[in-house]
Amino acid sequence: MYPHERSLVKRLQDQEKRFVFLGINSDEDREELKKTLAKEEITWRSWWDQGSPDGPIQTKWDVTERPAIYVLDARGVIRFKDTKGDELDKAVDALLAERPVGKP
Amino acid sequence: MSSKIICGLSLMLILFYVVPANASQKESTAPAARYQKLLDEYEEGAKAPELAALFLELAEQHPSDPVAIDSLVWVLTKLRLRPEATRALGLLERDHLNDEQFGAACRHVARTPTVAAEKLLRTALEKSRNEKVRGQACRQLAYLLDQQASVVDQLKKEPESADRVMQFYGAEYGKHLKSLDLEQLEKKREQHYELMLKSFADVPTSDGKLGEIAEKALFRIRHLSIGRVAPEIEGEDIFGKTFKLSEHRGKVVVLSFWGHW
Repeated sequence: MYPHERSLVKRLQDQEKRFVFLGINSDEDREELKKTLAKEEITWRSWWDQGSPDGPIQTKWDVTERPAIYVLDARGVIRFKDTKGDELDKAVDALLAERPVGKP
Repeated sequence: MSSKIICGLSLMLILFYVVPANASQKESTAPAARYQKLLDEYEEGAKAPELAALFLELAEQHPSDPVAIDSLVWVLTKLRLRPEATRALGLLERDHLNDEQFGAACRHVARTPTVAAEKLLRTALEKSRNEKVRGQACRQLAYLLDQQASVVDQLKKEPESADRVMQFYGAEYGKHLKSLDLEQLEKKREQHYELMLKSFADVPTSDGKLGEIAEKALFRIRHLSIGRVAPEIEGEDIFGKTFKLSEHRGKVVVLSFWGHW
């Protein structure tokens, strides 16, 4: 699952004012997780959801299957759900191509 | 050679004793034992369509026995696209509308792809004298509308999936699905969750009270659907530093729920 996310993040690394990739992680052990970040070259920031798949963020978001993906536009509106692989790249590119907020 | 003959003979003897004994006991055997025997026969390789008539007969003869509903549910789950399922729905409506056990069976009714299944749930919601049955029927109608909405949405977005839909749901119900309006379905679905919350909030089920289930579903519809503003996320990152989703307003955001299990 990581290679594709890594390439998306890398491809858009110079767009940090317009794009961000964020994770919500359900693993128990934060120390192990830090090792995983280094080993898998995971550069994006994640919320640590209290070490459980039943953590408060996942409960609020009603996440029962993982990986689960949401793509939000610049106004914070959910535009795509469970988009994977190339489709995820296309979805992000489509939203980046939309007019910036507040500009005609 | 001779051992083969002996084998054949003993088989005949066994058949001779077993078959008539079974036939004569059929009427007097307790419903639970008859039900178990049918399940065993299925395990041993008997085909579902052959057993269906016997399950239906058992349910019809002993409507007040708990195995009646179990038998009808068996028919619904094993023969969801066949006329036997419609017959089972008819018996559920005729004999079990006020039966508390029918509440838990509603989920199987909702997964039977016929217009009759939806009608039965509606009848149960309107007419059952048992509050738990009315509540479960309401919940399963909401689920059914949810499912219908997602199929109709898929048909709209991917017309090429029509063949798969027809195959899964059968031609008749597939055609019915095609005729439904997405906006109407979504509106009706929300109304049923609202009704669950208003009228059946305290009804217990195997996965929580109906009020809690409805609240969760309404939150998902109103805040986690495409086109809605995403709920705030606030919490610590892996290194213990707090941050918020709203800090990133103005950017395109990918949220990825991940972890190892």
